[in-house]
Amino acid sequence: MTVLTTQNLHKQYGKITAVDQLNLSIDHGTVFGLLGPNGSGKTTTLGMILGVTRPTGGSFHWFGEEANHQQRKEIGAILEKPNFYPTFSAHKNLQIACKIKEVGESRIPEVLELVDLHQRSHDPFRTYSLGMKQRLAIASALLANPKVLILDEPTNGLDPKGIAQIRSLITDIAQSGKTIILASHLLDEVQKVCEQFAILRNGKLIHQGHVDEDFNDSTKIEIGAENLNELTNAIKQYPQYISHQLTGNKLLVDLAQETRSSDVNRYLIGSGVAVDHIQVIKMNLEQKFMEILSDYD
Amino acid sequence: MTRLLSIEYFKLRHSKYFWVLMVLFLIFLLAVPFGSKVFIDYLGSMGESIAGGINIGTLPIFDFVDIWQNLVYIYRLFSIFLGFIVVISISNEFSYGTIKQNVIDGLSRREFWLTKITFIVANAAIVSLCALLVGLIMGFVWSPVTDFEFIIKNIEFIAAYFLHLIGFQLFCLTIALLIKRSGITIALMIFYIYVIEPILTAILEYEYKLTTLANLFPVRAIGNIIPNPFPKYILRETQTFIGTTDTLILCGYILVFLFLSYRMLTKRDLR
Repeated sequence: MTVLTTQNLHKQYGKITAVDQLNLSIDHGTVFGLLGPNGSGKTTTLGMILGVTRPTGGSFHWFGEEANHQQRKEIGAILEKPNFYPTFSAHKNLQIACKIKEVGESRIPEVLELVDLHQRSHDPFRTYSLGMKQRLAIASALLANPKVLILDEPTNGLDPKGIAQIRSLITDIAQSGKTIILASHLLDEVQKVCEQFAILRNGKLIHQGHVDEDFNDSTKIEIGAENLNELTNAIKQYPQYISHQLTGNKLLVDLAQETRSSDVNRYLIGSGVAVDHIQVIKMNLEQKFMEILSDYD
Repeated sequence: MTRLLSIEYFKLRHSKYFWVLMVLFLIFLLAVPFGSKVFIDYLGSMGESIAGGINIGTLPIFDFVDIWQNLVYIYRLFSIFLGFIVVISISNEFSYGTIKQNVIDGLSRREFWLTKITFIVANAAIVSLCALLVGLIMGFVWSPVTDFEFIIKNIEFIAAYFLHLIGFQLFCLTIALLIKRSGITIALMIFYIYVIEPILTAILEYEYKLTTLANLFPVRAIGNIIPNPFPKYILRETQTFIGTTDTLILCGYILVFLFLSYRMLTKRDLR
């Protein structure tokens, strides 16, 4: 079942195209990462699917239906920064959210405890630290036990401890089967918690894929040898060979999935190449990201 | 509708500014008529008289028939307090970003607009009811005539006051939505209400004899439904009824403000 689909979703601010004909599809139960550099249109996209920003064109569907405000009651979301009434306590702020979502107030203590705010729940919001504000935003998003959770840069501005807390919270929530849409410019955040991801650049969707597949479809091995020409010729004959590139005095070779360096080493020795360096390079999202961005250029 | 009203009331009920302004307003509501009654009686007892040699104390200012127009005319000079509540409540939603959060949480923009509108109507109703009560109490205590027909004569000024309050609060709502910052909105509003519009309309009225045009200015139109009753006590010609044209102009403004505020809230991006 798809939770969210967008059809040619478009946002124009005068001459600036913030989101360009975006087509996205997010399945039920996935943790979906929306990646992109600052200003790539992530928040604008989320703003549109949450009803605060008016699309210039295109449409989007929640739970397979034409979007309307009733559906938002089943979505928990934070957009950009925590927005609360500064003179009201956490508890009162959540009471307002309950009234809007038309749910009882019984879950307020529960969600406040979940984000470790229960002891400060009657202090005014403006007295909170940034981390506490961010945690209250997450508590508010979880308030109505939503089907979908949308988190826009949830660890922005937090200290390492706060980041760790929020990430483990996200992982816990993901395990309970909820759909999570996480926008971030932090690549390893997406790699750590997401299953699927999409990359936005200048408002355009330039890549959509599975975190696992994208990082396991090839193995990169760095090889060094006394005679690079011999090495190059030999490695091209290797059955799992895909491509190679020269980096300094080493060869960066792309090989088919799950090739072991020991096998490569054995093959090269058999071909009479004296290998003096061999190392599997685990590609992280950052490199993938840069690769995709450079492909796009 | 009650859900929407309860959301707005919850926000206001827990805000200090609401209580400060509301209590100040209610104090004026009681203190001004009762205080001036005492003051006028005192002047009367000192033998002060107005043009024509009539003792001030004998003027039927707070007697039935006269009381309704006199009372709500004084009251309408204090409507600005209710206007401040509307301005602050709307600009805060923008500066705190809470309007955005309300929408994200599942309030439609139309519903958000309705929370403000229902509160404006409810507050106008409560304040008008207070005016009715004060009028009845003062009348029964001091009026020499308390026959039913005298009590209800001109009581429609309470309805005019209700309409005035709605018009004025909607005016404030529209300006606040336009500017979105409470400080600037309040400063500009005060400047417009007490300086710009009075000067402009005075020029039109006295310099160019364009009273009809002057009457089309919003704040003046909102006030005109309750004309100043006091010149009659110095034997000047005074309108002591609710003008049909004035009512129509005010109703027109109410529709315009409703339309503008609705459009601004539903069509714009919330940023």
